[in-house]
Amino acid sequence: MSHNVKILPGATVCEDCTLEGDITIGGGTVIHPRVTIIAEGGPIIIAEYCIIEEYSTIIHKKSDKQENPPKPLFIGAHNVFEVGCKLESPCGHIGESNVFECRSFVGEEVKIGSGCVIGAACRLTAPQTLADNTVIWGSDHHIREALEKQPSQLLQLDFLSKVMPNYHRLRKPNVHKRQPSTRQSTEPSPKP
Amino acid sequence: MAYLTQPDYVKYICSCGQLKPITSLYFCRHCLKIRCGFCICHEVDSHYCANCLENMPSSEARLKKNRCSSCFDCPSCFHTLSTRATTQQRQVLQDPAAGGDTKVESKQPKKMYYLSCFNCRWTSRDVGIPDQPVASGGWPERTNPHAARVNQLIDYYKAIAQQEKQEKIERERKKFNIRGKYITLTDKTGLTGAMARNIAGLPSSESSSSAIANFVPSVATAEVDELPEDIFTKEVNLNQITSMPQRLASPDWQPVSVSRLHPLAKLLSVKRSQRCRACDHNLTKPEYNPGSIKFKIELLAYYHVPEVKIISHEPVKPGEKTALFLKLTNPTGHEMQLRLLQPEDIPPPEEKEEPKSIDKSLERSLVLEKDTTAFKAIERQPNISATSRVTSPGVTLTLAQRDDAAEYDDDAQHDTNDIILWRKSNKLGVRLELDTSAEAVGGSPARALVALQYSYRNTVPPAPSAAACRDHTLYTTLLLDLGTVSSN
Amino acid sequence: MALYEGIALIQEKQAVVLDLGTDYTKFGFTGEAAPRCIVRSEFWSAAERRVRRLHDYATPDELYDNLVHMLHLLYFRHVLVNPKERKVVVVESLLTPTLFRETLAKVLFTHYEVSGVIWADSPRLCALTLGTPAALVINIGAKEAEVAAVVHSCVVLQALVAQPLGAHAVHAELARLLDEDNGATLDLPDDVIEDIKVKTCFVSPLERALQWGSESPPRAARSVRYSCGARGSVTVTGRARELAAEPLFARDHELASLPDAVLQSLARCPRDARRALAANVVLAGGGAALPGLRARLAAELRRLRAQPPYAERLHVDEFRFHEPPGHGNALAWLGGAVLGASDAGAARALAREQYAREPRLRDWVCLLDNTPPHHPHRAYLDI
Repeated sequence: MSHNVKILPGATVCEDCTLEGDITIGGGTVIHPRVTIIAEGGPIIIAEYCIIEEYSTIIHKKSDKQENPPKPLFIGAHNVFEVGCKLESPCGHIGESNVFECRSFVGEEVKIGSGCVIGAACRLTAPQTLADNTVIWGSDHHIREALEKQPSQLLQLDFLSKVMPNYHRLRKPNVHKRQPSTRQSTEPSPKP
Repeated sequence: MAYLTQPDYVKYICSCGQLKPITSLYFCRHCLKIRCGFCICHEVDSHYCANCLENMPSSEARLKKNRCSSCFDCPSCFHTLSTRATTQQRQVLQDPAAGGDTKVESKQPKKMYYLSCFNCRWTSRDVGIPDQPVASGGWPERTNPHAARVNQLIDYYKAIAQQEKQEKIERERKKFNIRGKYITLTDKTGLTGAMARNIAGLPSSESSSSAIANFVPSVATAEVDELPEDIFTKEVNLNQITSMPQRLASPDWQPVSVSRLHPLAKLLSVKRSQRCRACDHNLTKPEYNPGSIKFKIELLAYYHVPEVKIISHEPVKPGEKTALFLKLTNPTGHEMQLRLLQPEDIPPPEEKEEPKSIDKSLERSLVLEKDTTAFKAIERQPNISATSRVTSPGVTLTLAQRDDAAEYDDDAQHDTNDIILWRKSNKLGVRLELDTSAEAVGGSPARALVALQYSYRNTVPPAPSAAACRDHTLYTTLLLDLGTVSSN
Repeated sequence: MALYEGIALIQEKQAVVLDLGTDYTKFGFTGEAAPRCIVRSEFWSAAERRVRRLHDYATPDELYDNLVHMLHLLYFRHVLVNPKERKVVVVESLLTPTLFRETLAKVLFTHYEVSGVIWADSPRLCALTLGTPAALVINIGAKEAEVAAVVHSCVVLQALVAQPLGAHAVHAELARLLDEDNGATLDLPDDVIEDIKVKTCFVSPLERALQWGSESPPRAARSVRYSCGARGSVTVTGRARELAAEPLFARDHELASLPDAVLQSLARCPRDARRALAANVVLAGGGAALPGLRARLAAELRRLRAQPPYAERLHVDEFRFHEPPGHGNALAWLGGAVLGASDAGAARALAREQYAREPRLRDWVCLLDNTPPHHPHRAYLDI
């Protein structure tokens, strides 16, 4: 178990999950049990108000092309990773309000904007860039553009952060709000 | 379950010559014959919406073009749309500005509804359909842009047909021969339309002449739409163009741009009843309630014909005798006598059942007159090419009636003999010999043919005149799929 | 309309209109402006556990089974009416194989027990949607492009020209161009090719098409990345987008291009009908929906008219095009719906009883049906 896991106050992180490497978890984010987050190629920063459900895997892959020091994998706010999804990425930036549906797979060379939906069981392996508000669904990977971002799951987050402590051991937040954090972006925005 | 997930190893030959597994066969208790989906008559029983399970009378369904009024399909991925509620923010924000009276009302923010697809996340807002204040219905309806013109055309041709008819009548009367302009359209006319008009008391000719006079034929133009200039330079956004299935899902509009997709009112489903073509009795009739999957009448072969399953068999070798183990089940509530025969031993059906009484023969002749011609046309010589024969043991096997309680007894009775392996309530395991022809080529599919003779007690209350002939001897032929002929 | 429905209630059930195309089947009710469904002409075969195409058959029995399954799907899944005791308007090409027609009649009359069938050919039905006395119908279907002249609701039979220049020709060319541009044998399934065609392809104007053939090709339109699911993505170049439909216009010594077919058809028509026909051209069929096809065809016709062998024979000065009251792919269907709604059409139906007495269909190629009553040979036929 690495000691580089930084959990900001307000985050709900279950103990029963694998967190390896330099990981920062933003406030308001809920991480369910049995989640695997591995930062082998560089740090992973998860912004606030994300939901990461059971058996999802987020890996920051090692890659030869990586700069030194390695760029972090930044996952924006309000992303939802549904049960069993897998995200492998060597670098980059994942926008806000994306939904990774159940058992979806996002390969290494896929860049994802904001408001995208990767449909259930869709495997994106080919190098591509998803523009904002792209929706991919079905076994044939139909693509369409949504008009607006996916609505955020604030109610669900609220519920989970209330209920989760009753049934699971949680990891304590180890970074305090006032303390200057490693990166500006990881700081939870002063939202009410 | 095996019937759903596995290939059909045992196929019965339907009376029409089709080979089907027992689960897709029916048994007509009046003809005492096996029927299948191919040789029975399907009828629409009732319309219902598969999403909201709401029944719709067929007259209403016709009026609504077989579409549900409250359920919609996604025009983008054809998944069912869900109604989602939002609270309208604007209303709340207006509160302070509004007067004191409205304040009470706007305490509860107004709910607005829109349609959203959970599969592809399409929403009715994407195409600019305004949110609705009610949860169901009220969505804008569209009409075909060409509907008016099509109606004009129909009126025009009807008027012409009318005129033709009248001209013809007059011609008949005057023996005056004029060939009409549209003679080919109406070279053979009936009087039905005119008679219907008379019956309905409708004006006949005046309106028709005006329809002809007012009709404007389509006008052709020399200019044709050229391609838009920017087509050579513009970037194509594939996401903005609809695919063929999306276009064809609304045949009236066939939108090209994604922004013109509209929610598709959900197509209704039907419950079908099925009828024997030979005797017109119902074979299945569903319950009216759309939520129920039960039947009022359910004459499935599975409940009337002995079921045969293959337990195991030795590899089929050309020119050799191999063992075959079958399980026979009696699904009926009566004891069943069963014999295994060769298909050739089945007596021809017509001679077998000689009329017992005059009434019955009369009934049969009436039935014959009715519709057997159509049935005969459908009948087909079954395609049976079997490599093997099951040797008939020449004994009569007795199968006990079905007893649901006996399911719980677990000791199989071993009153074994050469043929019977075991016996368990209404089931019987038998060991048979398989005779494969020497010509069978290794690797080719091995099929075995066997005929069953079984006694069947008809539980239909007999017609008052017919004597109590309740026990019948029936025959059926089966084709067993035994994998491939082994080559050595 | 309301008036009609009133009569229909007294008279009989609303008839259905059936157009079994090679790729798409159109099915719906008479008197309506569009079919209820346009579905692919295929069905799920439970015995074989695969999708079967309606027009894939080796034996008459197989065709019979296909038709039974297809009609079952149409009646009970899409249109939801009882086939029994209901009339059917069958929209057919003049070149439908006899086996197909006869099997269809058998299926409809014996299997589905319909009360009557109105057999109607697509050129006449397309002309019916215009209401003009003469029309030159160019029907670009899946397999073939048919050009037929209709004068006063009569098809000029000697002027019927058909060439294998349908949507499939475009698909084949597009597949070839895609293979060439991507440098690999892509082997894309038909529906993907169709989707690429529908979304990206267009017919370039005449001047540009000529430039493509010359030394200095024009600047191609933008190319498109088309992603086909798990299979990766394909580049659709501007060249492929523009040239996919060129086979329809490719001329060789046999003069077998689409504009040639139109002009040949005109040349075979009676001299006094030609001008009227050329001034009433209508494009039908799903293949005609490609953007720019009408403009290109018009330009080609105007150019070739002045060239041999047509210049001295045709004497046609102007081509005018109709804007039909419906989508091209369902235009013949629409004609069927109009025909079936008027009494004239209903009266021409082949009744079930009549078929039961003599199971024979009228056919324009059969001497029994096309010899006029006063023709000297008629006596030999009516034995």
